[in-house]
Amino acid sequence: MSAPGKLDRAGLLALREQEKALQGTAAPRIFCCSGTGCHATGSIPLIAALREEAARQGGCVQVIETGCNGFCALGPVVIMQPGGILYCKVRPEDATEVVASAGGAPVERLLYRDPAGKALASMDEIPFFALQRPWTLRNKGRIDPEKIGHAVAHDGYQGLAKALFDMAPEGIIEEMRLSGLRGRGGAGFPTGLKWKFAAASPGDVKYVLCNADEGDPGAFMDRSILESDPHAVLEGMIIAAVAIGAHQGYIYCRSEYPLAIQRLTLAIGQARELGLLGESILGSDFSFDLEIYQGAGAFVCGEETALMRSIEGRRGMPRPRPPFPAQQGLWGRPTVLNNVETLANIGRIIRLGGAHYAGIGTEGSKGTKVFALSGDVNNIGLVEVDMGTPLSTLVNDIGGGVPGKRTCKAVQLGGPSGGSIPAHLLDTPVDYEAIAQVGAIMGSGGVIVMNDRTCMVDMARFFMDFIQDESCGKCTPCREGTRRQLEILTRICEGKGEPGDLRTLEDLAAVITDASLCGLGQTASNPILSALRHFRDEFEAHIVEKRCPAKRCVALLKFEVDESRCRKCGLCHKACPAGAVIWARKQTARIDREKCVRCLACFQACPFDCID
Amino acid sequence: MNQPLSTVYGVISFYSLFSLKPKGRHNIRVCTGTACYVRGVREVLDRVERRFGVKAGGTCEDGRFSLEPVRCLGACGLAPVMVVDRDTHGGVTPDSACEILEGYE
Repeated sequence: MSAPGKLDRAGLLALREQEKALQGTAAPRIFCCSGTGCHATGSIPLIAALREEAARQGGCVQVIETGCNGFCALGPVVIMQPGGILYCKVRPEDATEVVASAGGAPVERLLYRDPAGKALASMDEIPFFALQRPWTLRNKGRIDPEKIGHAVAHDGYQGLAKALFDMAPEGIIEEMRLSGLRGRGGAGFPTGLKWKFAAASPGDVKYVLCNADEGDPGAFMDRSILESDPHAVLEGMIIAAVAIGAHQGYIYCRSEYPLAIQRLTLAIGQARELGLLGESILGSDFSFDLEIYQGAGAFVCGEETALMRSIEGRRGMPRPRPPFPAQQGLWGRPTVLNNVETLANIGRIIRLGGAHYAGIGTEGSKGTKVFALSGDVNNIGLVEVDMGTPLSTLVNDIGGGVPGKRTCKAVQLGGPSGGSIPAHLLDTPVDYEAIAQVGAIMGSGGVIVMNDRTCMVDMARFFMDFIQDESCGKCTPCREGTRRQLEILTRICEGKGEPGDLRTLEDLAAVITDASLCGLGQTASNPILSALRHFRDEFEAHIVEKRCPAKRCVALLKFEVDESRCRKCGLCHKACPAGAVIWARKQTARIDREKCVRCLACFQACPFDCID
Repeated sequence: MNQPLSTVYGVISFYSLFSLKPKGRHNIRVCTGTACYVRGVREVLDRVERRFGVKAGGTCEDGRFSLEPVRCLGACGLAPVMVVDRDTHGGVTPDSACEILEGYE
């Protein structure tokens, strides 16, 4: 028997049926995205306007605020049910029409339009959604993340109930092993094996940690999961705790994600209230509780040993392994540390069985993977595809290709630890091993598309600037080596490159990779090495010809108009903030170098690429 | 806390969100993540620095703005992103960034 207000297993089932009945009604509902992206484009006033309008029009239309829907570039995004009609870039002034259209004919002008200009009403018709398989993100845009009842209605915590009452800890671990799930933080270590080690470590006090310190620039998968379905992450953590015998857990979340922290805090409170966290969970004799720790801005704290030191209140510096966290982790106790996306998968894997999950994906990479698609691509957003899907599907079909007249040059995977894959290798499937073969890593899931105006030397310099700044300073090869690499790359970008530079970069890379303690240092040179592997000619153009083929490196540009190509349109003249472009109607433009501040505004404005 | 000052300083200087310098009236945070970089945040930073006489990591002489390039804010769908105090502005260009900032006294 459970305490008053707390659920037992039967109570959880009853709540699910009750909530399902509430949500399963055929009454029209409006789901409005309220993730970080849509917040910034104005979803808060929009939701207020929609609610006001719904009340004014009789109150039979329900307005539900959801987490990130994934289609961030076209926010605020609204989904009308029934029908799955998608509206893009909705403004508060559209509220009257949107509410009136519920259950009827859609508002034509708010529909998504494909690149050919054709309006597509239903989400199922839009390639961005149709080609995805939402597994981890199954609840995105369908539930209110601030209401635990919504999560429960979609089978939330059913996996936990099964783990607690129908399975032994060894059985849970075996099920995880069967599923083939590998850590989604980047390294891809099998989750079941990690749990097995921690379960086997002796000790009464053990910890379960969630790594929500999503530091890779260009990655926002974990943020979106936390904002749209926080209970899935909590459920995963509790199941991990049951499996290894832990009673306390911590979520380490970066403070750059205030909305995620707010929703997590709320979710933990609700779970405690219903007896899903705390003493005797669901009336069993198992207890587990959770606390949130906020990061303070250090990339290296995403490394497991550094993260634990940071929770302990110290400088977040990695330490040598072994001992591995599974043996000696937080405060010297056996610890399991999993990433947000990994944890969000667990409840469903346990509920449906490991074999079900292993049925998706490739030989070595099972299940699905969430990617954050950004950069020079039309449909920026959050996508989830089966392992084994070619990158080209991700970029060209789901992503809708590169905007404007530009073409795709490369795709960057794995952030500062990863590499760039050139456009001609985009048929590479999303698979840990296949991606490693072309010189990148799967990483946590940031996919940054770069167009032909991206300079690969400049990108290598960008990543090295990041890495040398974030190196914790403990290992000399990483601390000093990355700084030397940055100096060399900066020199090359400034046109002061020397013939031996590439060799020195490679030599440094070899030493830093071999002699660094943690993943940050060991992978620090990957962006340089992959750029050298696929775009060596660009480096040589900078060093030998003192020329930047992509026209990005300011020091190597001449700021001259090529008269033979100039179409006399005057766009460069209009764009120049310094009044340095001299132009008159039907005249070729000319740049006054005395006045020019080298801001590149004219380069971006010129549709004919005629400024050198 | 019963900790030596050196330990406290060690922790403060390690994390980028701790600062030992006073901030301006308005804090401009410009995202320098990969997506924002690819979409031209460098030009935005340059222009803001020039227009308002503030260096990245510093504060204007009149204390109006502090300019802080920050790590990825995870709002890559809006790249390039600039956050002024608590307001997030997406898809900024050098021109629009300066225009937005004129609204903050």
